[in-house]
Order: sequence, then structure tokens, then C-alpha cells
Amino acid sequence: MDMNVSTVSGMSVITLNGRFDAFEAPPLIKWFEDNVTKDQAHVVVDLGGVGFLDSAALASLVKGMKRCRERGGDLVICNLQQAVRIIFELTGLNRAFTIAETREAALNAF
Amino acid sequence: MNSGRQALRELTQRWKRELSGLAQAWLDAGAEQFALVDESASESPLCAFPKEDHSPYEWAFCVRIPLRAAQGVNISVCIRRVPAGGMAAWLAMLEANARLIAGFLERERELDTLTREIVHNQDLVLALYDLNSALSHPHDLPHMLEALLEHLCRLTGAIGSVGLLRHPVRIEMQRNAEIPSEMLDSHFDALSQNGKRLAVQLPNGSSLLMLPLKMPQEVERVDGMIALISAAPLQSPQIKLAKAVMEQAGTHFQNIVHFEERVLQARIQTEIELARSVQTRLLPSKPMQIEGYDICGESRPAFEVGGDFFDFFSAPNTPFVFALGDVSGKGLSAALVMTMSRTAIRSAAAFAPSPLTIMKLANHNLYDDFTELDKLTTVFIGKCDPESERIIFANAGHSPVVYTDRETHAVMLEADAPPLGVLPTYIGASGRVDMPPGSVLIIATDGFVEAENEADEMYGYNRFLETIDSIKHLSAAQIVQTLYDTLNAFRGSVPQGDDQTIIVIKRVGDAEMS
Repeated sequence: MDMNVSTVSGMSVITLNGRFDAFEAPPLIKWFEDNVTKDQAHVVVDLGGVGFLDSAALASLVKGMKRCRERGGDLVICNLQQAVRIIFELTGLNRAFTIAETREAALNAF
Repeated sequence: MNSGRQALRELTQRWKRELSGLAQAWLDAGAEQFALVDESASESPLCAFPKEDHSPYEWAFCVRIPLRAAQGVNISVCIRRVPAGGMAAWLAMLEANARLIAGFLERERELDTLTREIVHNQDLVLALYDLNSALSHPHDLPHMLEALLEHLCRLTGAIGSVGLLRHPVRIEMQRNAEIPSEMLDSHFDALSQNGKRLAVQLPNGSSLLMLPLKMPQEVERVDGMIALISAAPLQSPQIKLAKAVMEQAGTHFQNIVHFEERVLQARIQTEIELARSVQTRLLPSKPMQIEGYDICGESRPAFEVGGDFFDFFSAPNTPFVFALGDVSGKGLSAALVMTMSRTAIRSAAAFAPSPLTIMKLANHNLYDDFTELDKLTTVFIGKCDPESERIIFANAGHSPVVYTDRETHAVMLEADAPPLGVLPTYIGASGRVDMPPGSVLIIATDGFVEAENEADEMYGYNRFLETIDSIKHLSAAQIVQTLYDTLNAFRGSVPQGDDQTIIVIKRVGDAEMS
């Protein structure tokens, strides 16, 4: 999986591509630990390039969400492919995350 | 008398018979005494024929014995009172005697040297044998290093030694040496660069020779070093011997490392098998007998232990409660969290009246720990009364949950709340599904739908639903078995990647009863 981080309007946007599973989750968790602070607690995760994620991947996103919210921000996910959207719905995680249709909508969600 | 002179005296004693032959010729010719005299000593001669003492300054002739290897030793053959006749002839005879005695003494010295070399070589052979025995038997690296230091000192004559091992563990050992660790490390780094050997002089003037220790399979890496301390720099034969020993030692060290790794693996394997046994015993082992229902549950971890669990709670005159969960991640960490989750749910189920209340309590109790551990657990909890035609449930992010009856196709029941540990407060509601005769509720873990085949295709929800539709007329146990068999056939040679756990609850109808 590729992980790319850019800054748009002062917010971090993480773009993920490929299969997102237990082997790929640790770098993302480390990024959240190193970079989410009180001053930088708004993060967008663009899952447009992700066709599958497993429970460990979901746990890493939950970790990021909790960390952002504890510091007064939020983690917004966007661009979900149909298969990934179904995973979020089946696991009820659509009720825990802020989910935006597009990256622009995600950036405006804060 | 110093030891050198003592040795000379012993030498002359051994050649006494030959010397006495020479002396007799002189005495017969009229000389008064024949003797060998050490010029550097004013004491009595080394040997004299006859033995009487005379003043050391009263020799008539003294001719120095021409010893080739004599270093600071000057021995002369001396005559007291020259026989009558030509002086020149007598002097020539005495010189011939001196050359003859020189020959005796040189032969004797060579013999001595050869004997010492043979004894030394025998000692080396013995030391090498001891070293080989010592290196073949130790059970751990410290003992091995100790044996190596001891025997290298013996073989090379070093007065002190130091061993430093850096891989796979750090061990530092000094024998009759006190070299600061920082200095050793700095020398080690220099030796690692150089890779062969390094000689330095210590502040106290003694010499330090460092040789690398390399394990054969790690040819590029220096794993440790031995440093030998000697008063004077070690010579080429000793260095060659030490290098040969170090090469052999590398193999022995590697064998120990492999042995220790195998012991560690065996210990871990035993621990894991114990953990597996504990986990297996935590799962319900007997089929659940509930009036009006046919129930079967089974769990198959992908590895020795897993993060899936299921549980049945039943007591007389109370509804039957069942739970199934899946902890995020796999292996030992998931297994530990699995036991936590199971305990939290079991405790809550002991006095909570409904699946929703159990779920709320469990989430409340697990949330902080799950946040700390970066874990989450999907859980489905259901309750059914005997003879009742409905199941009440709460679903925290669990999937797949499938419902089907005689009339309709299998459908997925979506969770209305995220898994436990995601939100501090459980936000889901209570769900309900009617269970007319022949209806089946199947709760499985994602190991079923996410299994992949050789073409990297996922089994998927559609295949899962289609299979259930085709086997829903079977008993709960048969449905469980068929679902596992179908999945295994789909996977082919691809190993099971995730834990697979399932509960099948079938409402027994008239057809099934008969």
C-alpha cells in the first residue's frame, strides 16, 4: 500500500492506495502518534485508492479518529469505493466516523 | 651460581667420561691438571681432573672453547704445568681438544633445544585437544567465551585476555586484564572496519592483539573479538595459531547460537500450545440443547491462537444467551484481548437482562483498555427464550450476520453500531428477528467472507449467501460443517489467513422434528 501525506489549507491529507491490512496499519498508526497534536488535529484520510481493508486497518483508523477527537479535531474519511463503503456500513463504523463523499467535502467538513 | 652455569655444570657431568679420556692423555704426558673453567666466575672449575683445588690464576695454558651459540658464556680448557717437549705442539693439541669439546657442547645444546621444542609442541597439541573438548561441550556463550580465553592464553603465552561478544548478545569478559569498556568498544569498531587483526600498545607498555570472531553464516559481520595481552608483541607462529583457533571458535559459537535459538523456539512453542489449550477450553465444548432450537458453534483459528470467540450462557428458567466476537488483528495479542472481551461479556451477561444492556456494560468496561491497546472487537449478542419464535440481539459492528427462512433468500443483517472500543458510549439499539420453524440465523466472522483462493479472489458475501441458501434445510451441525468444507475447497492450497468462527441457530420446525 502507498501512503502519501500532503498539507491542504493547513490540514493533513493522507492518501492511501492499494490493499490496506494488518501489515500496512503500523506506519499509519505511527504517523498519527507522531503528527496529531492539539495544533494539528484535523486529518483527512482519502481511501479512494483502497479496494479492501481488514479489521486491523479499521482499528488503525479508529485510533487516528480517537486521537484527533481527544485533541479537539477530527479524522474525516472520504472517497470510499463501493466495497469499502459496504465494510463501513456492515461494521456500523459509518456511525462512528465522519465520512465525506469527496476530498473537497472532507476539507470543508471541519 | 646462576642457572646457566648450573646447566653447564650438568652438561659437563654428562660428558664426564669423554672429558676424562682427554684429561688422562694430558696427565699421562705429564700435565698436573686438566680442567674446564668458566672465565666469568672466580669459583672452582666446572670440572677438573684430578679434582684438587688450585689457585685459578696458575694455569699454564688456557684455550677458549669456540662455542658458536655462546652468548656471554666463555669456557676455556686449561692445563696446569705443561708437559716437557715443544710448546707449540702442546698448544695445538689443547686447541684441538677445545674444538672437540665445543663439538660435544654444541650437540648437547641442540639436543636440549630439540627436546624443549618437542615438549612445547606436545603441550600445544594437548592444549588444542583441551580447547577442542572445551569448545565442543559448553551449553552457553559465556562459558564458551571463558574457555576460549583460557586456552588462547595457554596456547600463545599471553598474560591476559579479553573477550567481547556483540552479537547476538553483548558479553564482556576480562581475564587478568582491566581494559575500560569504552576503549574495548572503540577497538572493536576499528577491528570491524579492518576485519582481520589489530595490534596496539597499552599505556603500561604491554601489547594488545585483537582478533575478530566471525560466525560462518555472518561472513560480513564481526560478531565479537578476543584481545590477547602480552609483555612483548606476539610473534607470527602464535598469531597464526590464535587465528586458526578463532576460525574454529566461530563455528562453535554459531552452533551455540543455533542451539539457544532452537531452545527458545521450543519454549515459545510450548507456551503457545498452552495458550491454545487455554483458549480452546474457554470455548463451549458441548452442543447446546435448547427446546425448539438446533444450535451449533465452532471456531478454527488461523494460527495456534486467535482473536475470535463464541460463548453460550444458559441456566435453568433463564433465556439462552449467546455471543460471538472478533478482535481486530491476529495471533497472541488478539488472543489476549479475546479473553478480556469474553470475560467482560460473561460478567455483564451474569446479571444484565438483555443483549443491549450486556453490550453497553461491556463497551463501558472495555473502552479505556481498548483505546490504550489500539484494539476493537466486533460482537454479536443474542437471546432467545425456549419455545419463543424470536431472537433479540445487539450487534456491535459484527459481520457477517445472515438470516434466512424457508420462504426467503438469505440476507445480511447490518450492524447498527460500531465495534466495542470505538466510541465511549454504545450507540446501538436492540434488534429483533422472528424465528419461524425452519428459519436459520448464522453469525460468522470475517474469516469466512474474506478467505482468498489461488487467483486472489475473495470468497465474498454473495458466495456465502448463495451457499447458505443451498444448505439451509440441513441441521445446524451440518450447515457448519458444509460451510467450512465449501470454504476450504474454495481456498485450495492457499493457507487459512484469518480465524473462522461460526454459530448456527436453527428454529426446529415440524419437518426437522420428524
